[in-house]
Amino acid sequence: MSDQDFFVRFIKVQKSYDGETLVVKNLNLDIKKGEFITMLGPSGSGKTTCLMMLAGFEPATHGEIYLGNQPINAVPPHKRGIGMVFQNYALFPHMTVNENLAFPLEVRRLNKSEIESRTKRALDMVQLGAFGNRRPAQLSGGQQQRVAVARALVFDPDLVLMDEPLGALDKQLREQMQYEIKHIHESLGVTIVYVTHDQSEALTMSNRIAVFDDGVIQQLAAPNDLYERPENAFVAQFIGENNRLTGFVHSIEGNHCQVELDNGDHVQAFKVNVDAVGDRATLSLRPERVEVNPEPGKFPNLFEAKVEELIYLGDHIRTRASVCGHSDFIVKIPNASHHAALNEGDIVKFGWSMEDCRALDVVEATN
Amino acid sequence: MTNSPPVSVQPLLTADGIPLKTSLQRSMRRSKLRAICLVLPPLIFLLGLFIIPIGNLLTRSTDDTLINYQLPLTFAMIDQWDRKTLPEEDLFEAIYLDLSSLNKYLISDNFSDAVDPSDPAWRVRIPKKGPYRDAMIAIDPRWQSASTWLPIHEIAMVGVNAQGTERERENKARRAQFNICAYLTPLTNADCTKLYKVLQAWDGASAPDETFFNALYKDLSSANKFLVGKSSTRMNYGKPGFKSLIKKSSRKLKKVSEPPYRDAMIKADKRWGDVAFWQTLVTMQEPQTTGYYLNAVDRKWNKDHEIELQPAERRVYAMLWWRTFLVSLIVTVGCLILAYPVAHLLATLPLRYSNILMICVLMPFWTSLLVRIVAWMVMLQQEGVINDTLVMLGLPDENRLPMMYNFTGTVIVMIQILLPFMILPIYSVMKTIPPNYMKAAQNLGATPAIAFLRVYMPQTLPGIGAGVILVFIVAIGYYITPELVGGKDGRLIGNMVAYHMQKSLNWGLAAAMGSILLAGILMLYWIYDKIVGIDNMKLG
Repeated sequence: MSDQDFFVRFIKVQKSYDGETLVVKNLNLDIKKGEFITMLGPSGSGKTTCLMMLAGFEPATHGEIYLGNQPINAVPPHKRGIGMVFQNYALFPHMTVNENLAFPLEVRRLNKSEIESRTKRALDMVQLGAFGNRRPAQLSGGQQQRVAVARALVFDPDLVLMDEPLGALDKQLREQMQYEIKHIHESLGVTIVYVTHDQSEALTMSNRIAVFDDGVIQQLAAPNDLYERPENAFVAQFIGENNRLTGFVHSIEGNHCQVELDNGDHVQAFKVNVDAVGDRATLSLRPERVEVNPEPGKFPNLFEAKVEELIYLGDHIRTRASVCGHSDFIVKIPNASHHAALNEGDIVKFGWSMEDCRALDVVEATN
Repeated sequence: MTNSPPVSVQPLLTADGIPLKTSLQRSMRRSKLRAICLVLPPLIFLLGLFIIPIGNLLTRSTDDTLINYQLPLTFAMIDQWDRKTLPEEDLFEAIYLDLSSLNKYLISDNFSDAVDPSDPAWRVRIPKKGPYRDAMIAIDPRWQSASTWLPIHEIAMVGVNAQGTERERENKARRAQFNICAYLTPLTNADCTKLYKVLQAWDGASAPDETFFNALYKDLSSANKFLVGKSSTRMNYGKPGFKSLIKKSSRKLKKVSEPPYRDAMIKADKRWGDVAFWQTLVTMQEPQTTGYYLNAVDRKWNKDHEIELQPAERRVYAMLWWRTFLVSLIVTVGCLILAYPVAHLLATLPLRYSNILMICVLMPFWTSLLVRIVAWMVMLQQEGVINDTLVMLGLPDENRLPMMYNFTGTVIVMIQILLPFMILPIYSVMKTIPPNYMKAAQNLGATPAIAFLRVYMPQTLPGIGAGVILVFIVAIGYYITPELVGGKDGRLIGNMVAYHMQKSLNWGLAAAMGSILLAGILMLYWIYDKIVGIDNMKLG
């Protein structure tokens, strides 16, 4: 794929507010036309700053941003033609819903009938056709959210930015809106850049997810890749639940390695980003990939475990056990008809495959 | 509950069987009582210091009863006059009696419609040197019975029986003397010392003798002089020259005791022969007058009871009203233009800088008004800072700008003084507008200018409205600044109100002007409510 195919490009973008610390460090990101890309990360990771630079509200300290092959660093926000849904919607409180939607069309000097038909179409798209004459304050949070989406789309932008648009909604409404936004994306084919700190939101909606931390994209991948194949310990820990075992690299063979854990046990793991024998490594293992009392010989990794705590969660049973010197080892046992019946204090065997256990770098543990 | 079928028709009961409503009321009573107690002091404060004085102001601006007390007979008879030719002897007699005789105080009912000109009591003469008793009883026989004197005696005894320190007793005694006069006459500031002295010794039952009537005559005479003075001032408002006419003729008329009065009065002062003075009297006949209000807008009643313009040389107020309105308007607009960017800075700068700016805004607020005005005098005068700077920059010395003791000076200083009243409400509204709106507007394709005009500014309207109303209302009644830097053509209506309160003592006119100001402000408020809506106003 050549450079020309990308719709939005960040090239070596850096951003600093105070001239002393970098909020965004050397960002390179290419976004294809029609893609739904999510910037995911904890607060303060620089994801919103990237969005603001793209929208034009913050100038990039260094580097270039391209939109449709045009450098846009010097283009003021109102000439970029990018739609945006703000965190608290930023619906103009002194205008009705119709006036809010007509605003971007009026400043573009469209004629009256055109404005009317487009406004109506956009409102119908978010199923709020009957609410055109209300003020934003007379709408519920979910309705305001829809209006904000409609307003960002009403002038047919090629690119829409969304800055944690669902943060203020309750869980049920949030899930419903996720699907609606996803469907709008699919039916209109616009490019969407979405910022959130909610990983399930990111996994549900995105084509690709850029995981941000400390001003750097830690990994850019499709949702399933991100979950199944995290490239570093931060991503493994940030996306989904994760058991971490720490130790030294004992030996490396091809794409596999053997790690000697701190308690002396040896684990066979998939080598991801450990470089040399003797390095510290973090092993990452998803709780649902551990099997209880497996058939002998099925897995290269088989360890004795003591069940410490059982939590019944309906579809699965969350089991905390002591394995290899770690007392916070979590296993999810599916509540299937033949699942292993365990009691607290039982001594059992835990086994897992080499491919599911990923040897990663070491993060300075913060939590 | 509306959809469910009624469970029972009986009222809801609490667990103890008391009706729920009773129980609720009982539980709320305490908090209600507390709320009333909290509201009471400001309510009393408002009533005592605001509503009652304003009510007093309103009544004073139309009150014309004093002159009706002075000229009961004249006003009762003036309706028969044709208002064109010089009045006949009977009207001259009436005004002579009203001004010089005491009969009007002695006749029990002598006010307004109750006056009967045919009553011979009006024409009973009280010999100047006495004895007074018989003549006074002839005017109204009730004076011979002790019961007529009893109320006066009671008022006097309040002073006599006063307790406390010597000073307090003295004050009480003087108050009693004033109260006696207030009982007998419409005056509250004349004192009846002689009656007080005589009544002190009275037992309250024995028949009043000549000493009583002597005291009554003397006290009423001095009170009458007082009343003549006051009412002649009032007549002077109607037609200039009336006061001197009354003063001069009452001096000369002392010698006249016999009819015909007409020739004697015209001889005493030939202005009595001028129909215009008599026509002026007609306009004062009603106990309620709109004359003060008309005067406040350079108009008056003429003899045919029509409103007409004051003569050209007496037209001052209409121009003053217009100037007051103009100054208030310019000051309000000026404040708005200066305050808006400052308020915006205050609301958007980082806290560190906005705090400093806020102090700069509030500092003048904490400084004495007088100090600020004097500082402006230093700046604006002919040899002041601004003119000196301009001369230094090349302005010819003889062309120094006149910026003080005129319209310009008033406007400049008032804008500076009233600026915080505009900044603060606008700031408080701007503070609540998230910066996201401007961003959203620009993101939707609006240039910064359009985003400001269509998205930001409409949201600051409640603050602008509050500031405009506040500044305009304060400016329209402003007094101290125009007084000090206004000079001749920087004077406003407020200065006129002060002048009539303090110098000319024409309180009726001052009250009328105040009432017009009040009405203007209320109207403004009403217009604002119609256009913007008062509930949209945010004062902070």
